[in-house]
Amino acid sequence: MTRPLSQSDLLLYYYGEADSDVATYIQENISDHPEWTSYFQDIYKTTSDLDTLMVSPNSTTLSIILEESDSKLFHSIG
Amino acid sequence: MTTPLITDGVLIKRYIDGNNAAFETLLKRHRTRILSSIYLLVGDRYVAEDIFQETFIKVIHSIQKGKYNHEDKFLPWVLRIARNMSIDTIRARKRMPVVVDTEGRDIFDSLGITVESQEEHRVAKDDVDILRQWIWELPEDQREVLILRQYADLSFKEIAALTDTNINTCIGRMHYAILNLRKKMQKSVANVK
Repeated sequence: MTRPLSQSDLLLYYYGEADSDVATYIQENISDHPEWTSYFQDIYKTTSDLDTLMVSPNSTTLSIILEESDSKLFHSIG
Repeated sequence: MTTPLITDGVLIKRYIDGNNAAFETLLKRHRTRILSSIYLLVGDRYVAEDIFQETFIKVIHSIQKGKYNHEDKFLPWVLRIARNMSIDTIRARKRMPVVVDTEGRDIFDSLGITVESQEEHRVAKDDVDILRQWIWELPEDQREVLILRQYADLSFKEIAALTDTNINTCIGRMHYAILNLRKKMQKSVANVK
């Protein structure tokens, strides 16, 4: 790493998208940078509850889609 | 994110070859991410369910017509269709005709609400409602990146392609979305104390 680390680097690292050299640099130096840990903790605290908003489609919707996808019908059309 | 044993691309090939269970697997694999993303984009559960259904019917017809050529990029492709439908729906709702009362006043104005504020300022019943409201209160571009990264599990690169922006713009929007949500959470905790 020859350039200073940016907040974008940290965000990409948190989501597992940082380049390998950046990821390695963060892993090797995180103990010297409590502000990085603090930033990761902030992201975690903010996003960890968001999964409670996940919703699944109802069974009627799924049935309609699966009926439409029926490969027998598909091949009889084709 | 762990790589599934059978990739989406393989499942689509199997479906094209007549294996309907392969499509069912695809649907099961992505249904929650896709519906949750649509729901948080449009803000209405029933409308989201309709868009979800229309999206998948469009997906099925495209695959059946041999128009699928995205290899293992199934999720970004489906989300592009769902996002376009969601945007059309939001725009259509904003163009809803004005309903006037007997004195010619906009009935929603006299009630003190607008189409947008129905979603943005409704009374929060519990924590889930509050959280959803906070997401809805984010600027539209920040909200979209947050939803696509957090719920749809798209990479920033995929989000940039989907929203016709660059990756740095997406990362910036995500950063501010998190910052704004964090502020709302801290304010809420401070108010409780």
